[in-house]
Amino acid sequence: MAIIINLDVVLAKRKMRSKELAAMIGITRANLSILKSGKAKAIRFSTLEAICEALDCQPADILAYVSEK
Amino acid sequence: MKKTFVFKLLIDLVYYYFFAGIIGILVIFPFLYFFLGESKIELAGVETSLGSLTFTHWIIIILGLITYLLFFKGLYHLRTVARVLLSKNFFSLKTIQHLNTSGTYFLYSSILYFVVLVTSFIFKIFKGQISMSFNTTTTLPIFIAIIGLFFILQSKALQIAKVYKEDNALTI
Repeated sequence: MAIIINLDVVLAKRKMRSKELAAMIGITRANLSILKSGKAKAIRFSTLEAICEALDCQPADILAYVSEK
Repeated sequence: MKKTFVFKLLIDLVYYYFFAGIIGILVIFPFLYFFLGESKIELAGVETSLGSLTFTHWIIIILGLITYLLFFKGLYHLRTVARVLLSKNFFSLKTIQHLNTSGTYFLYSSILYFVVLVTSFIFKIFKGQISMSFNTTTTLPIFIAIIGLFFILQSKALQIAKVYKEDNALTI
């Protein structure tokens, strides 16, 4: 997919584990893993808001667009 | 879910009823034909003896048998659908495929059943019997065709719903 999820990078900067982030934003570790691995088809604004609030970052810090051409 | 259980139970009942019919046709009909050739049967609304079956009689018998087997095959696939639904797996590929196949067989059997009815009607006219009746015999093939088409459409709807479900499952 052309949208890249840089969640691992932000988690490393914040020195936070995936388990902690999942608990903070109220999603399962499995769903967070789907998001991190790029298998997710879509993300809800509510989830994005919760992630940005938990990691104190902007959506652009987590999401990146890479052209597939 | 009780409704799913009752659904499967009713399909099983009809399935075994038709299965018993197949056994009956395979066992009783040859016995009557070869050993009791003068037995009277009613075929296409006309009473005749097994020993004096004409070509048209045989056409009606064979077409009727094919109709019966097509309907039975449709029931078999519907039974598979009921079994999968009982495990609450509504959006599985198995449900979609078997529902579509069941609908197709029901549709074909209804078309052939209609052909049998028309052939029987024409045969009766040639035998000098003209009768019109208002009962479920004439509307039954149409109803089976409606059921078959509905199953085909329902399988397509389930296929679309499956895609939406998968997309939803991958929406975080």
